[in-house]
Amino acid sequence: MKVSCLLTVSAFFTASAFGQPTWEQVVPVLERVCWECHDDAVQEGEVDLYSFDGEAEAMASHHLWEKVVRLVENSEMPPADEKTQPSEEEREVLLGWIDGALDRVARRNAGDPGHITMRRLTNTEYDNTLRDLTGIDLGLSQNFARDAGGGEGFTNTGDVLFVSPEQLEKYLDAAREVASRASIFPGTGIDFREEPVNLRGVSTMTVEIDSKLRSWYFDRLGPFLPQAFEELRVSDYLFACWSHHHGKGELSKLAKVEQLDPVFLENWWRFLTKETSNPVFNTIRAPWHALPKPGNETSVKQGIAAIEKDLSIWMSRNDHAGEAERADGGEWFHLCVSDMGDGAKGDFVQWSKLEVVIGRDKRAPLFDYLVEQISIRENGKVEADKTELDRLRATLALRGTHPDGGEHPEDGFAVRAPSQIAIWLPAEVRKLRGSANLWEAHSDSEFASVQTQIITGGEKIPEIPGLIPGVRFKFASKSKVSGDFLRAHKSMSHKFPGSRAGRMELTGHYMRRNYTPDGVYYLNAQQLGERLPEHERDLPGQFALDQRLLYLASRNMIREKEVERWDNALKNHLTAFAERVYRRPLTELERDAIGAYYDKAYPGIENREEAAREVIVRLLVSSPFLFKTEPPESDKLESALDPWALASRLSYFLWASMPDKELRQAAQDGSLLQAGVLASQIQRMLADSKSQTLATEFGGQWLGFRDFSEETNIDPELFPEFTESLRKSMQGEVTRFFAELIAQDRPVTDILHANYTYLDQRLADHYQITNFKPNTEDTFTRWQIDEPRGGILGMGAILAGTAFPDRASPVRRGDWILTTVLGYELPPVPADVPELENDGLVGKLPLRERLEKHRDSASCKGCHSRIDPPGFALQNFDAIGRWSEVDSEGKPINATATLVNGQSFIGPAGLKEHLAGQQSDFLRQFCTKLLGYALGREVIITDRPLLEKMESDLAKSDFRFSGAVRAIVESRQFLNRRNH
Amino acid sequence: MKSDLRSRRTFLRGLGVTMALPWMESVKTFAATAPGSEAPRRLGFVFMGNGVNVEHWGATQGADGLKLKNSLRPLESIKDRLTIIQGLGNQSAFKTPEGHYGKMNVLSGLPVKRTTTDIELGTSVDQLAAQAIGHETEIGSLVLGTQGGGGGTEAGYATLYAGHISWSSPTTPVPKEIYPRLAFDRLFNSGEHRQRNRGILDSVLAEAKSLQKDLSVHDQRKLDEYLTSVRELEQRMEKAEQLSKTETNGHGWEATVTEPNIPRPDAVLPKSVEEHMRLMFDVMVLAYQMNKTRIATYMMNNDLSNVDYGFLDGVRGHSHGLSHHGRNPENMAMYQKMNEFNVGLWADALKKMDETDEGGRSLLDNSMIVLLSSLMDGNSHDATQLPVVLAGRGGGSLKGGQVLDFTEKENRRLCRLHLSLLDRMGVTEEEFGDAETRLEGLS
Repeated sequence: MKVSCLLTVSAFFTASAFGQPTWEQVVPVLERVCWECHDDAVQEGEVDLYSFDGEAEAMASHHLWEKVVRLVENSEMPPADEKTQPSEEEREVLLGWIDGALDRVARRNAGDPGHITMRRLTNTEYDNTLRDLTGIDLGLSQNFARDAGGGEGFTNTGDVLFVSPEQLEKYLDAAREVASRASIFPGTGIDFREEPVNLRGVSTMTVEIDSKLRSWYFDRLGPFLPQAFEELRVSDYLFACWSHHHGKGELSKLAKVEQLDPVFLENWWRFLTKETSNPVFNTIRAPWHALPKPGNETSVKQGIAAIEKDLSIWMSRNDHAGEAERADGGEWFHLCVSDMGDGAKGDFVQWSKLEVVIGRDKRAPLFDYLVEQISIRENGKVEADKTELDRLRATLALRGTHPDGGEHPEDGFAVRAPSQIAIWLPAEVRKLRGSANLWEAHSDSEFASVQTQIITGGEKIPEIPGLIPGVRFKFASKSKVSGDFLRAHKSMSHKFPGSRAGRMELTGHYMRRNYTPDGVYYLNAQQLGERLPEHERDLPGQFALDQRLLYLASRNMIREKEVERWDNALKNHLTAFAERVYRRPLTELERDAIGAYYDKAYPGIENREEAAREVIVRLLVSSPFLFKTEPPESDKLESALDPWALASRLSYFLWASMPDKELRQAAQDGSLLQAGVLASQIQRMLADSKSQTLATEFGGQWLGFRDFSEETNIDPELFPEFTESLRKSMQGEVTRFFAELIAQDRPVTDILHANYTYLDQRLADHYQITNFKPNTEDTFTRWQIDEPRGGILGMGAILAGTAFPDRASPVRRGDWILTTVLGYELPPVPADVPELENDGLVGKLPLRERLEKHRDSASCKGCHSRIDPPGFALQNFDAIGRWSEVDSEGKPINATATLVNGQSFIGPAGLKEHLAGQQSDFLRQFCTKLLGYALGREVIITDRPLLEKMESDLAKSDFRFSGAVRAIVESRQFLNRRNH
Repeated sequence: MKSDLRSRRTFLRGLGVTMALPWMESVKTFAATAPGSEAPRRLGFVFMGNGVNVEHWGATQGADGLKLKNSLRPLESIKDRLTIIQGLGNQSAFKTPEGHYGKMNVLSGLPVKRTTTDIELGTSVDQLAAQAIGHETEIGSLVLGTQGGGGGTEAGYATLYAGHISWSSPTTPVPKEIYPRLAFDRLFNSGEHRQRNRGILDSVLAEAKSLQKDLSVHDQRKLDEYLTSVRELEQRMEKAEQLSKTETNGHGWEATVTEPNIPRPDAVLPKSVEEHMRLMFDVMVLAYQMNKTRIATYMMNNDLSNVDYGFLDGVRGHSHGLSHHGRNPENMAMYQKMNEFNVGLWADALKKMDETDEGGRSLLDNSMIVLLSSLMDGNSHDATQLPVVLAGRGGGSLKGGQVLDFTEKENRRLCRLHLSLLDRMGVTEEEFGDAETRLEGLS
């Protein structure tokens, strides 16, 4: 209904001179004008205006008087064919009294929450809620019956939100659509896909969880694992462990001081101090244990640097052990053979194919080269140095030797490990290479284990260690010792994989198998969990559970206990999901019911995931989901909403969707009931992109543009320019304009008076804006716009939305401005009146004159002298919102509007100036509509004081949108409900 | 449940005052088809918004059958199956200077409550029939349209009134299916999930019942709507399951059309108005042919419809605009074209029904399809009498080929027709809407 001051309408056009009439004054009017039909005896139309003894009694039926106002104001009562008609004065007395009396009623019970019929989710709310529940936007309500409007004209009015068997069947189908997209695991729980998942077996699920885990941990683990070798900070960790070893503090403290990762440091410590027989580990561990005691930090650091170097070699693997390139100052080459620290049993190695590289790429067999060099020197071609000659001869003498007297290749010799042979070669030799093979013919070769390596250096080099870091192990083909060494080496590469990819791969590998990783630069599931955002903290463990159960199931090894675990896990997920579906905590009974339903579905379905889907279907057609249920405290007339119901009211008001996590949290801890929290939630929610829905659901339904692009009927033959894309652009403009107004908290007066709008190129062309520069990153560009456009009155969607299929209609535009924008009520259109195109004067008179002629008849004049002028002012805009100086008949357009009171204005600019003078009516209409939308009911008489507060709050906050929203949300109406 | 109440009432009445009541005669005469051989009767209502051009509406009785006026010409070839009913209207229609919403009670005959919230119009005749006999077919009734239910409010009314003539309770409009694809699919719902769906309905029903007691009386009523829908859907599913298990419909008669004879429509709404209207007729006829339902209601467009009829040659404007012709000859000619087009589409559907042989009699012969509007003269919002044409012979219970003119009669209540049609569907009511007597002269 309309609760604006009843006198506004007349004040707009005439002037009222009457104050506040009393009951005593109004009785004679009722007696003369109304009681003939509406007394206690006749009760025409079941209306009795007689049986009241005084104002108080009369106003007990205030709804009746509200109806009287509407009928009398619109001259529907008394009926026109009735002899007795009220004088102007009588009308003023009657309406004046009712207004005053209603106002007194309004104030007596100001803020009555009123009856709000339990509201089913509107189609939009249904879609939005499912979007927020599942993370996918399916738009399933497309197939539903369209919602009708009620109350203040909005679809979210409970009385007009019906449920029928047909609709229920559609809910069932839609719920199945949703559930078919659910992927449901015992560990990781429920998530929804764009495409249906449907019935699937354990093996499919296993593949899925593996790939899901893989992509997840690559994403999440990556940031925590070092990348390059330097990032491992091996020296720092070793030093911290050394410090701890020597009592210089707890590991955690040391980690903090050195900014080391405490988990990695723990792992290092364990690695260094845990007894092991692994010879590879010991190449790192032994030198660390051998580090000097505190006192000589420099040598500690040197020792650590050497360990680090060895580790880096282990991690990178020395593939060049078969050759050496002369380094700076390294005159000597050394052929090294280690016994790998397990004794020399069978460790015979044949060096062969020894070859020198001279200069860039001149090669020669070593022994040939030696012969040649010796000969040159002996023949004096080169100045012979005795020492050099001896060294060369000594090397040459190696040819053919064998420590065990066995056979040897022509171009080589054999040694027994450990062995280090120093070879001097002239400076021109850049490289020495050769191959070293185990002598498998030896009877002990199955016990052989060696590493071979060619290096450069001085004449004397340090003794080679038992195990040379990073150098390939060599065993005989029928080795009895290789296994231990290879295992030891593999353990090392697990401890220290060579790359981050390797580190991640292994972490994942362990996580998938639910093992505790034994590496150093690793995080186990729990440690990783601790570093994740809260909502992912349990994920690693959940993945582990999924993998375990699926592994067992896929091998038919699953036992009752695990089945139970699986089922319980699913039930828990379903319960958590149900709490979001029901938008409140579940009762014990409801929780049990979900479990019971799952159990019941299971034997029939033989597939746990499918059984869980069945529960989802059931939840999505349940009444607590489909209805916004606000349980009353039935013994009271009125009760405060509990925080959950309030959270829902708020989120359906601002988002047309369910409460999000933060809002649910505020409901959970009850803090939502605190004014400060409520206010900050309002600000947060309005700024959130989900408030866009207010643009279409509130703005669009109030001003009639919500379904513009689908429902506007423009004749495509007369207006071929009005294409599908242009419609969409127009819809986009007005929707975006509102969305931004809300999100940026702009003044609501912008609705009429903004000097900006949102355009795309198509619309800019349509509006003949020549200097338009589109923002390439957005579909729409905010654009400064001047008269005659600016505000909704210059927008295509409004102008075309109020047109007839074949032409612009000043009458419809005027009617829209008066009734929709300003909230005036006009009497119903009389019958037997042709619409303008059918008046038989087409082409004979300009449109304007035709309309004026139309207005001549007495039955039309009263209204059309009010309706037409604002429409005339917009006459330069044609049916599809283009600006034109002449009408379709080529006659110049006269956009002058003259009101009944003689006041006149020209064009859109003049109209807007005029409307600025009606600002209080506009604001009252805005507030009425917003309140109606927020509460999902008609605005009632007792809302008057709230409307006034909204208006004054708006005025105090530069008319910012949030001012009105906050006044509503903090009102008695919004925070409470009426129970009877 | 409503239908339970109704049948109990009928039963009690039957015990008490059986022979005394004149209506019993009609019960005997028109009782539902006897089990065994005959094809069942079908009932249908086709609505067009915004009235008709009075000058060319109706027919006169000629020596060799009906002489149809221009608007009804498309029906020439089946005129022997037509009953042109003149002079009937809803006398209890809410008297208001407003021209449309208050007159949308064509199928209920009860006042349209002027409100934007607690809407009320009365249970409609098609739904009353569906509640009584709808369980005999897979689908209780089909409610079709081409336009949505309307949003917003106007002149103190919720505008949804203009989009709904079918009401399952006094306060609940039945949603229309406007997608040809979905209407078609509804006929062939394979029952894939039927068993499971029934389990779900059981479960949510129990839950809603337990929640209901904690609600306010006001909200309990709303939840009742949900409960009723759940129960009804459950019954439908149960019935559908039974039907799917029996070889025939249990009456010995089998539909002569057993496979869809039209292609499955596209998923999107047709862009062409004509195609859209025609497709919905196709689905309606198919539902009758295959005996998927016996009761259908189809709003070719809504009242106050702004559907653009510019696609017709020489016509400019939308449905509602065209109706307000102001008696200008040019405009009336355009309005006339719209009328003829609407009747033409209806005629095509009826002819298709006539071509469907159901064992000696055509589907049309077995049917009773009413074409009507909520206004006679759309131009002047006149609803004192309405344009009503009844097609079909009601399985031999209608004479056809005649004009019944009630213009000068005292009792011109449209609901009398509804009572007569209900009788013929085997649904006996003592009174319906504002009527207590049947229409004379139909058979």
